[in-house]
Parts: sequence; structure tokens; C-alpha cells
Amino acid sequence: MHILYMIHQFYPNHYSGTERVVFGTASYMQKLGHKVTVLTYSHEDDETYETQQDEILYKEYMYEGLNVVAVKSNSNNYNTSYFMNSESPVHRSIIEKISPDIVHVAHMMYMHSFLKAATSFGIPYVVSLTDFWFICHRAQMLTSAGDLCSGPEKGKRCKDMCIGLEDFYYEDRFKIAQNILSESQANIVSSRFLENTMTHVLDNFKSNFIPYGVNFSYLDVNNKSYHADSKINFLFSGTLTKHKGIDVVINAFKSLKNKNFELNIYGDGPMKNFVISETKAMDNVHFHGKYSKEDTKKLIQNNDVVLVPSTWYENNPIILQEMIAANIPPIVSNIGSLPEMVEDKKTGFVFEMGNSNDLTKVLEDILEHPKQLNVIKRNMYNNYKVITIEQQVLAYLDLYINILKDDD
Amino acid sequence: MNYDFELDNASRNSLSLLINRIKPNSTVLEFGPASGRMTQYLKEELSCKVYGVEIDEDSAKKAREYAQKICVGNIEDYTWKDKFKGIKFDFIVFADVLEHLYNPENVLNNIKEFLKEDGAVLISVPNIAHSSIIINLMKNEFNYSKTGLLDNTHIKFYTKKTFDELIKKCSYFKSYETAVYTNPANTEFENRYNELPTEVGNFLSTLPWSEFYQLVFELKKHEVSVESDFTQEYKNYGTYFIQLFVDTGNGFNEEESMRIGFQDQKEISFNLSKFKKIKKLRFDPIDDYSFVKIDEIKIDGLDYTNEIVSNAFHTRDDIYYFENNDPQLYLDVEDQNEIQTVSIKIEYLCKGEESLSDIPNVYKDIINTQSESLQQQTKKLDEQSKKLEEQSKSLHNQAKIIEDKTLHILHQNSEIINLNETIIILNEIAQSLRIKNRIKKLLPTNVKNILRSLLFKYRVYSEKYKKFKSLGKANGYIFTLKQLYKSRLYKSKALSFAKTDLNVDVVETIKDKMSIVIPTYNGLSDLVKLIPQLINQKGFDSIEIVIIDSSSSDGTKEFIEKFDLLTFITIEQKDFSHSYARNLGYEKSTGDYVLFLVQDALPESEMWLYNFYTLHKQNNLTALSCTQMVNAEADLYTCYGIDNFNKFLGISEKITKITEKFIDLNVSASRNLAQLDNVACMFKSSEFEQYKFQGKYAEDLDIGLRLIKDNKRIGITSEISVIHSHLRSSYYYMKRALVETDVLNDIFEQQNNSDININNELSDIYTAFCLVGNLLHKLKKINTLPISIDDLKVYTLENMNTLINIEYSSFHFSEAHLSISTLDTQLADTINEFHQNNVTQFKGDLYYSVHHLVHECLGYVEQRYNMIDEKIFDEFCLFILKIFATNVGSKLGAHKKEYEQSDIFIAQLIKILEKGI
Repeated sequence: MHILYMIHQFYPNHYSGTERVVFGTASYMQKLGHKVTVLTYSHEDDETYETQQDEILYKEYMYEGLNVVAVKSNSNNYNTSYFMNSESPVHRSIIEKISPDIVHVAHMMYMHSFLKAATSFGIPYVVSLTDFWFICHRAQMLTSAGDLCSGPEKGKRCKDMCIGLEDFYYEDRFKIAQNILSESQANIVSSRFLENTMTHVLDNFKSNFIPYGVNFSYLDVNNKSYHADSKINFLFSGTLTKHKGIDVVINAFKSLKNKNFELNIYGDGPMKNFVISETKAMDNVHFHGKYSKEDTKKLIQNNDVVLVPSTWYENNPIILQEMIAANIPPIVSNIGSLPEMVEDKKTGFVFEMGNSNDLTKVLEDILEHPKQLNVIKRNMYNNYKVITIEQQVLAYLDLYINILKDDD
Repeated sequence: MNYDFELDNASRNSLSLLINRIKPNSTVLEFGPASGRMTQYLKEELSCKVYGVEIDEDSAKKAREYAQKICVGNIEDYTWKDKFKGIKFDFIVFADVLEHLYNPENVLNNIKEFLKEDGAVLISVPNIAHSSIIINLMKNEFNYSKTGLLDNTHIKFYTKKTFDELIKKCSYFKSYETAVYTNPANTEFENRYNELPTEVGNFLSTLPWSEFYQLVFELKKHEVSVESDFTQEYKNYGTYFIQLFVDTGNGFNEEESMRIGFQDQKEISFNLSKFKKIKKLRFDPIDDYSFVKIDEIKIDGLDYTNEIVSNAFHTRDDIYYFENNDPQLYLDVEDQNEIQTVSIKIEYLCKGEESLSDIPNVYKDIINTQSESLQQQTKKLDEQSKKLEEQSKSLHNQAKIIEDKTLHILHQNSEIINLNETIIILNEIAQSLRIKNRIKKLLPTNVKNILRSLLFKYRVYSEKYKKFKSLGKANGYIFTLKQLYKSRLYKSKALSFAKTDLNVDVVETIKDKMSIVIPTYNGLSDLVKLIPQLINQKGFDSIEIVIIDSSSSDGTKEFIEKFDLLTFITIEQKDFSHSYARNLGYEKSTGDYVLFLVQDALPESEMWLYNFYTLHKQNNLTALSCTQMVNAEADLYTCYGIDNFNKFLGISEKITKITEKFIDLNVSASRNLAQLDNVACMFKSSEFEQYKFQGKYAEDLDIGLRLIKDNKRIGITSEISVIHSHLRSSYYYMKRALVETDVLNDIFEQQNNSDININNELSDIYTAFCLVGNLLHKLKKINTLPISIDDLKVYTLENMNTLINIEYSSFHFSEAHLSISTLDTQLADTINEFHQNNVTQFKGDLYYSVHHLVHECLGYVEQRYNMIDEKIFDEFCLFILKIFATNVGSKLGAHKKEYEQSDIFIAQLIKILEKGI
């Protein structure tokens, strides 16, 4: 089987969550004996491309054994918020050259024309939803004013709340999205929350729930157990922005009476200076800056509880999955997919989004009764939902095989 | 408190400059207080005693509220002298007053007796040498106005030099002097240097005093050192300033605003401590068309850069392009209780409409696209102009029509509201202008000039329009008022879904109890993955796990004891055998079914066990194994190994293969029939009881044979699979092949009757090693990766064909040894044993099979890859080495007994190789 993965950006220049998933998936597909090509958009300088046909710059390269086709266009149609409708002979010739049996869209941005070209050859496709891009041109379901969005209302609310599109396009965009998702052979969602949101927002949304697989090769497991007076090390790791809730964390720790803890903060972002200045006077709070993957094992051994206090609709964040896999009890806010991964007081702790007082209560409770962590850690194993990258890919493969079987 | 002038120190105007000189609790004489705005400030903020002389009765009344005494009258009547007799003042103030007097010199002399010995006279006076006056003069203009430099009530006019002379004449001494700077464009005359010939304009603008709008002095009776403050920064301030509006509930207004002048690229801070309950902030970075880069906006140290909303025409990253002369940046700060400081890091990439040609790089690509399309349009226009040439006879009439239209457009020109319409009209004109050479002769000069200016405007506007349209289309970055309004009203409500929305697949659960037996040894890092997945397998009422651990030292025991349902049995390491550990585990188990699993296996999904059981049950089997699937770390050889094994067993396609009869065929066919695989093998407990495992190695194959000999149904399936593979060295594969071949010979009671020549066998192995090593050496010389699989094939086989025919010298051996040792030192050491023991060269079966093996590798790689990069190339080299090492192992294993009985080095070597499998 020859699988074509379409993604809006890829290694080596981009390496966020979606790229990691595609890389892991494609590499393992090869090991299972399938041919794989990655088609991506790249922002590199025009001179680095091999050929140009019409407005499309084209090159091929390899990344860690993967065949990558990179395209670029200086046309304004290639835009982060729009579906490109214009499909031309160039798009078709690129798809024809790759000639895949199936297309898997990992992110739709910049890729619509290519998908249309593929469907014009009758190639079936599946779509992975990694964020809310299909129903939100800003992808995060946050309004231009920074508020949580409660749904696009077929594009009408977007028009009212968010900038970024031409007037007529708000509702059109929604219709295009609906079309692509209803004509796909399968839509893969990685969290129940995303699945429910899409079902809620779109008509007749069909989906396959397959969470992201964790790569255990750089993980470890924390097997500590706790006594009545154990000191607890808390971990926050993520982008330092309001939406990741770092300010909630700092405020909550500030008002803690029990000081038998340490808080380790990893990450970078716009609120870095805020974090540094706020934590300067706090002896048991440490800001470490960015962390590399190689440090993960150390991170797991040195911390007892992880905080995921996001204030936006998180969709199966990798850090939470990894820490659950590492048997580190999580404290999460009650928003997006977070509560579906954690059951309060059973497999971790849940507090009210953005409410630092509520978080303080949870923290005090843990510090007063550290022994409850032993129970939580055991419960986490007994309610284990983490899957490995292999299991995730095998689930994808099952899907492809069934689609191609039906196709015949 | 609300004054009608800005009192913030940050703001530089003549009044604030004068007030800043006055010390609290002073006695002040203020000439011309008007309605007393300064008077009020001096009294209320500085607790000064203020006296004044005011000509206007009504104004005096108002000022009196704040003054000790206001004398009404003309300053030059000197009636005030009597009124204030005996009072000595700390400060005497003439704020823009002296220029209204007939004899300022006389007044300055008369006030001396009222000034304390260390008192000061504070003066502000307009500068008549200001550029705006000179520019106007050059344009033959000199217009009085109600206020400003040419206030129509001004009687005297001064320059810096003439006022200095006046001071000298009156025997005062300057203690401080400065000026308020204003760019001519910002004066009441609104003129610009570029209205003058360039050289003149440049000369004028560089004169030190040319932008002194008002002069400010502090004079003393006695000579003191002079503080002269004419820094360049003030000049820039006069040109550009950043203004911060603060909305405390009254909307944005000038009163609640502060402005600070700037130089290029710097951080500017505003102190907001005097404002309470701030709702919104608005920065006006400049009052002109501009590209600005906002590096950072911080409110009390908090980064707000991402929160900016602006009226920019377009933004990209941190760059804002304002296509209007009133740029505004909004920040909503309602969540901040009190704000002390706001700072902004701003860089002005382009200022002013004229400088927009220096567009920052980020916009260049957009503009390039635009210019391309413009070029295309120009082409079209050219074509059209050719057509028009053919119609040259009717040109005269057209020219008249154009003239009419031109006049019509001129009418509208001052305020082009509908850009689009205008452009359509202008477009027609422009088309006609393409043939302007022809028209030129026919048109009167004034029409020609009008057309020229219109063409220019057309170009400017059409470019802007197109830019606007395409950017708007692409990004729609303009935040409409409606959106701004609605987003303010929006109460966000988080989406959430009830637990019941989580559609969990429900299957009918299996009543049979499943026991899983896992022999373990130091496998904690695998067990932490495996155990949680096993206990969460779906579809069983009861799963029991029995761990038989060979005294691990890695914490396996502590980990397993966390789980209630797990049975943990420790055995001595020396007691371990595959059969013993598993049989013991079975004995401790209580299930209806028993699944033997290895510690580093992983189910493929949460339904794995359920599907495994179902296949077992449906096919009415005694035992069932499932196929292995490589894990994510697997290399080419690992994949090849498992693929090949499945092919051998005939389960490459998804299938369950069942055997229930033993047919005595050759080893390989029997093995094919009887194969059970203890990586994951499920038995019905009651039937396992009668057989159990036997033997040290290959206990799974052994029990399979015994079962089918008794006509029991056993199966192997690829409908489900277990994730299990190892990354092992070539050396290990050699060892394993050796042991496996030997064990298989035992199980199938094969007699190797053929006489072998041990020396020839060893020579064959040694020579084949040289061949493989030298081939790898050649391969390492490829330095053009990635290469196509076709090129790799050609290169590899060409070298292979050359190498296969050579005689190997010790030079060749050392090259082979070197290249193998970079991949696997233990294997290299083993070969070295051969070399040290003077094994001779001989090209036998193994040697000639290398060609086939390399072909096999290339074929396998070709199935998956078209292009070979470093990663795959390295795997390919190891692939060759591993497949070869396996063959060596098999060759050694086939005649292990003979080797063991020989009296040469190989007997010792076999013993070493056997260990640890």
C-alpha cells in the first residue's frame, strides 16, 4: 500500500505535535512494509526549490528515511485561514507522480487543492483532526478578543466574533469544511471532546476515535510511594502563556500555607519574564527554561505531580499522555479533553478552569495527605488508556485496509 | 482635577517647562494670567502665593479665585507697581506675554525691584526664525492668525539671537534656556521642507534654531552658570510622539492622555499611577502613515504583546502597516486592578506617506506578486493602446470627451469616496494615455498637466486599491466595528459534554477466566507498559496474571506488588528454563485458559485478548499462537526476519492456519506444521495440563509436535498480532542461529551423516567474512546520499562482482575487519579468532551464497524505498551483516558436535557462542 500523508508543515523546520505524530506514523508504516510519502508545504526561500510549474514551487527531500515532497506558492490563495479551491493540472501532476493508494490528511491547511486533485483520480482519503481548524479559521476556538468560543454556528458566530476572513467567506468556509469531512472515508479524532464538538457543530459527522500513541523510548516511569510527610514536587511544562494557565499556577502556589513542596516550571513563551519575576522571591519554586526530550526521564524521576491547568480547549495534549504513561498523577482544569483523561480524586485531580483558589485547595489537600497519591497512582494503572505509537498506527492501518477493501 | 493644559513632565510645552522651574511655596508674580489656569496649578499643587496683572476684566475675575491679588490693567501703565509695592517675588512669569508689549525692555527693567536677589524671571516667547515662517516667506506669504507664531496681537518679534541681546541690554543673566520644538508640518502653517528646493530645505532644517517654536528662559539678577538644554531629541519630539490614551470609563479623550516624544527604536514607559479603574488603553504610535514593529507591550511587567487590536490596514507577525494618519493600538486591560507602568518597545520601519516605498522585507513578497500582476496588466494596456492607434482618426473627438470627463473627475477628486468607481474611470483615461504621444500634440497644456497628475494618482490609487483588495481577500485583517462591538458583548461559555456522551464500545463479556503467565527477568521498563495494558484489556470478567520472576534486581517485585490481582513468584536465576518457569506459572494459575506471554510483548489493541480468545474458541483449538509484529524501533533486518518467518509459516496474509495431523516430512515442513510461538501462545488449561512444556530450548515447537502427533488441533494466526521485536547485534544473530540450528537438529533427530572437512568449512566462513567486510568497505565510500535504489543496486552489485573474484590478502582482511568492527566489534573479534588461528582461504558454499544474500537485501529494500538516505543506508549495511552472520551461525550450528569434538580453536569458540541465548 502506498500512503500519502498531507500536512501543512513538516520536519526539519517544524516539529510540533502534529508533525511528531505524522513522522511516527509514517516511519512505522514503512516498517510494516508500506510505501509512504509526505506532502507538505514549506516556507523556505524560493531558491531552494528544484522546479516551478505555474505558481507551485516543488522539491523532494528525505528526512530520516521518509520521502518528503515539499511545495510552496507565493500566491495569496495559500493562506492559513482559507481552503484553496483552485485545483489545477499542477496539483494533479504532483499527485499523479506520487500516485498513492490512499491519502491521509494530517492537517488541511494549504493542502485543499492537492486533496481535490487526489479525489479527481478517485483516491480515497481520511482526515485526522488535530485541532479545530475545520470549524475555526483561527484553529483554537478562541475569539479575536481571546474568549472561549462556544461554537461557530455555521460560521455566523465567527463572522461576529473573529477577524481574519472576507465577509462572504465565513459561512462558505464552514460549508466547505462540512463537505470535505462528509466526503472523507473516515475522520480520525484523538479525543472524545473533539469528537463531541465536531458532532455537535457539524451535520452527520462520522468519526473514528484513535488517540495519539506515546513513544515510550524516551519515557520512564515514576514508581515512588509516599508517606504522611513526603515532600511533593510539582511539575508545570508547557508554553508560558495565559492559555496554558501558568498565571493560575503561580497565583495558587503563592497562597499555599503548607510549604512542603517544590514547583518546577519548564517552558518558554510570552509570559517568561512574568514567571521569572513572580517566582524570584519564592524559595521552593524553580524556573528551568526550555526542556529537551532527553531530559524527560530526569523530569519524570524528579517530580511527583504534573499540572495541566489550560484555559482553552486542549485536545489530548502530549505532555498529559506522557505523564500518565509515566504514572505521575495529573492535576487538570475542567475544560476540553482534559477531564476525560482524569477522574477527580481517582486518577488525578480536576479543578475549575482559571480558578486559582480552587487549585490552591487541591494543592493543600495533596500536601496535607500525600499518601493519597499512592492510591491515585494505582488507580491510574487500573484505568490505563494510554496507547503506544505502534498501537495507534495499527489502528490507522486497519482503517486504511477496510477502506481499500470497500473501494475494490 | 482637570487643567486645560498637560501637566505631565513627560509632555514638553512652554507652560510645563515654566512650571517645572517654580519651587513649591514660592511667591509668584504672573503677568497675563488670563483666566488663571496656571494660577490654579501654582496655588493648588505647589502651594504658591500668586499675584497677577491681567488686562481683561472678565479673565481677571476668574483668575482671582486662585490668586492673592489680581491687578486689572495694561502692564505698560505700571499701575501694578503701586499695588504690589513692598512685595518681593521668588518668580516673575511672562508666559507668552512680552511679544504683546510695546516696550518689553522697559517692563523687564521695572520688575527688577520686585524680584528677590535670588529670584528668577521666567519667560516664554515665540521664535520668528522658525522654519514654518521662513518657508512661508519664501512662498511670498506672511499670514497673521488668531494664535501661534503670528498671533495678530503680537507687537514685537524675536529670534534666539535678538532675545539674547535684549536680556543683555536689561542686565539679566540666563540661568536656564531651552526651546519647544515643532516640525513645520505640525505648526498652524502645516508646511514642509520639501516645498522648498531640496538644498534650501536641507539647509533650513539643519539650522539649530529652525524648529524652535517657543524660546523658554529663566533669568537671574546675578551671573550664574547657564543650563542650556537644546538636545536633538526634542527636535524629534517635535516631529513624532507617541500618545497614550487612558479610558477610565469616559472613553478615550485628550485630557486622559499623555504623550512622549521618541527617537527610533527604543522602549518608552508611561506612568499610569494617577489613573484609577482603567478599562482600556490606546496607543497612537505616530500621527502618520507608517510601518511600525511592536516588539513588546508590557503592563506592569506582564506581556500583552499578543493582545493588541489595531486599526492597522494589515499586520504580519509583529509588524503593523497603517494606511492612515491616525494609527491606533488598543489594549483591553479590564482584568488589571491597578496599573503602575505601561511600556512599549517600538520600532518605526517607515514613517510618513512618502517613505512607504521603503517597505519592510515581509511585505516585499506580496508586493512582488502585485507588481507581477501589474506588469501583466500593463501588457494588456499596451495591446489596447495599439488598437487605439488604429483609431487615431477619431482621436480628436476622444480627446474632447476625455477633457469633459477630466473636469468631472476633478470635481470629485478632492474626496474620492468610492475608490473602485474612480479607478474604473481612471482606467479608461489611463488606457487612452497610452497613446499620449499622439494626443499630446492635440491637447492644450493645462489639460495635459491635469492628465499627467491624474495618471500619477491613478497609479498610486490603483496600486493601493489592489493591495487592499488582495490583502483584504487573503487575510481580512480589518477588524470591523461590528466585530469589535459584538466581541465586547460576548459572554464566553465553555463547551463541555456529559460523561454519557463518551460513547464506549460495549461487548458481551467472556465468562471464562483467563490466566496470563509471564516469565520475567529485569524487565521493569517493559512491564510498566505491558501490565497496565493487560489488566485493561476489554471483554473479560476475570483476568489473572502470574509473574514468574528470576530474582530481578530492578524493582520488578515492588512494581508488581502494587497490583492486587497479580501473583508474583520468585525463582532462583539458576533454576530458570523456558519450560520450568512457564510450567510453574501454569501451576499457580487458576484460569480456564492460560496465555503464555513474554515480558517485552505488547497487545496490538485493547481488544487483543478478546479477539485472541474468540479465535481460539471458534476454531475449537487446544493451542493458538499469534504472529509477531515489529515495534517502532525495528530496523530493516528485524522487519525482514519477522516477514520471512511469517512467510515461512504461510501467514503473511491475515489468516488462521490450523494443523491437526502430523505428517513426517523434512525438518522445515514439520516445523511449519507444528509451530507454536511462546511470545504469545494460548492453551485451554485442561489440555495443557496433560502436556506441559519440555526441554531447554524450543519448548513451544516441541509441545506443538507432541500435540499434533496426538491429533490435537493447534493453530497460528495473523488475524491478530502481538507487538514484539528486538534490536540485536549481528553477533547475537550468529549465536542464536547456531543454538537454534542445533536444537532443531535434536528435536527432529536429524543425523548429519555427511562427512565434512572442518578446515574447509572454517576457511569458507573466513573467506566469506573477507568478502562481506570488503563489500561493506566499498559501500561506505558512497558519499552522495540520498541515492536512488537503482543506483544503490548497480553500485553494490558491480562491487560484489569484482570482489567475488579476487584473492584475499592480509590487506583485504584488515580492511574487512575494520569495516565490520565499526558495525559490530564482537563479531569482528570472532573473525579475528579465525585470522589469528591461520585459517586459510577457501571459497565454498557460504562464500558463493553471499551474492544471493546481498540480492535478497537489495530486493527487500526495493520493496519499501525508492530513495536511500543515511538512515536507511546504515540499516542496509547492517542488514547485509546480520543476514550473513545468521547464515554463519546456522553453518556452525549444523555441525556443532563435530566442531566441539575437534581439537582446534573452534571448539572453544563454540562454547562461548552458545552462552546467553
